[in-house]
Amino acid sequence: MCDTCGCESGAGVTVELLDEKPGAETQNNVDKRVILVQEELLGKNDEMARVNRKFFESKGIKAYNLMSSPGSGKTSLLERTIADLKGDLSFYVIEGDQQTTNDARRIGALAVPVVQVNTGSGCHLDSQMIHRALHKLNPIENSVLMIENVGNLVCPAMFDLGEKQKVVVISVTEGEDKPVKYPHMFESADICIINKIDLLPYVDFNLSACKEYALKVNKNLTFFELSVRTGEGMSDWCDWLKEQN
Amino acid sequence: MHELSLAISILDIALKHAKEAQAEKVLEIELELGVLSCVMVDSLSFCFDTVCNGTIAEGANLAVREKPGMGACEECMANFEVKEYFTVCPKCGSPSVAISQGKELLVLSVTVD
Repeated sequence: MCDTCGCESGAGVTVELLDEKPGAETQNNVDKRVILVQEELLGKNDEMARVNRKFFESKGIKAYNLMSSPGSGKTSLLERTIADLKGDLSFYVIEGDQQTTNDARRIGALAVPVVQVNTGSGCHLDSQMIHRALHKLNPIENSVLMIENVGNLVCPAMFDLGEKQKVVVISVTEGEDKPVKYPHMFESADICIINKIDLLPYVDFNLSACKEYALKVNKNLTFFELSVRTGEGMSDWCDWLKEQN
Repeated sequence: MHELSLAISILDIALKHAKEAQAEKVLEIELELGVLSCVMVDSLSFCFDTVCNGTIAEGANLAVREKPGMGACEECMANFEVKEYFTVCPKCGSPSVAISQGKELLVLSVTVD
C-alpha cells in the first residue's frame, strides 16, 4: 500500500513556531542548554493517522473506529452488520484487544478478511498499529474498514487512527450518564449507537436522558438505537452505512 | 493508562533533541498540558520516571505547565474559562460552546547538559 500512500516519505513530526525557532538553543550557563521544541506529544501518531487517512481517501475506503466500554456489543454489532450487508459492501476488519484472537475468529467465521491486533498491556489502538494491519489486509477500493478498538471508554478517544468517523457504542445495561462521566469519548465521536434496546423494559436506563447527556457533550452526534440480538433498528444503521459508500 | 504511551512519546522527543544537540544528559522537559486534555499529571509523571530509567534522561525533571480551558459561545460569541466539556455559556445560557483552548499536549523545551 505504501507505493500509493507514500508513508515512508511523509512521516515526521509537526513542529510549530513560537516566537523563537524550534531547535534553537539558549545559553543559560556554560553547560546547561535549553532547547526550544514546541512539539506535539501525539505528533507521531497524528502524522501516521494522516498517512492512513490519505490512503483511505485515495482508495475510496470508508474506515470506522468503533469504541465502547467492554461488553457493549461491538463485536456482535460487527457480526450482524457484516451478515446483513455482505452482499452490498466489501468489509475488512481490524480487531483490537489486549489478548486473544477470539474476536478475529468470530469475524473470520463470516469469511471476511480480519487482522487481530493484540496490544498486550496497551489500552488503545494507535495509528501505527492500524498502518501495520493495513499492510496485511490490503483492502480493495471502495471497501469498508471496521476497526474495533480496545474496550475502553477513555484512552482510545485520544488517538486518531485516520478513520473517516468515530463510532461510540453504549448499551442500555450501562448507566445513562456515561456520556458525561466519559466526556472525551463522546466529544470525539461522530456517531453514537445505543445497543441492547430490547432490554429497555427490564432495566432502569433512561434513553432520552442518555441522549441529552451525550448532546450536552457533543451536539453534533448522530444516534442509532438498535438491538443486535433482535435486529430492531439494525436497518437504519445498515442503510446509513450503505449511503456512505 | 494512555499516560504510558504519552510518557514514551515525551522521552522519544527529548532524546531526539538531546542527540541532535550532542548532549550527555537530559535535565528537564517542559510540557504544556491543557486541562481538558484527558491526561492525569501524577500518572504521567510516574510513567515518565519509569520509562527514563537507563537512558540519558534518567532522573530528569518533568515540568508541567497547565493551560486553562477556554470556550467560545456560538450564540452570543462570549469567551470564558471552561473546566468541563459539558458546559453552558455563563452569559446567555446556550449549550453551543466550542472549546477553543485546553486540549494542548506539547513539549515546549528540553534542557540538556
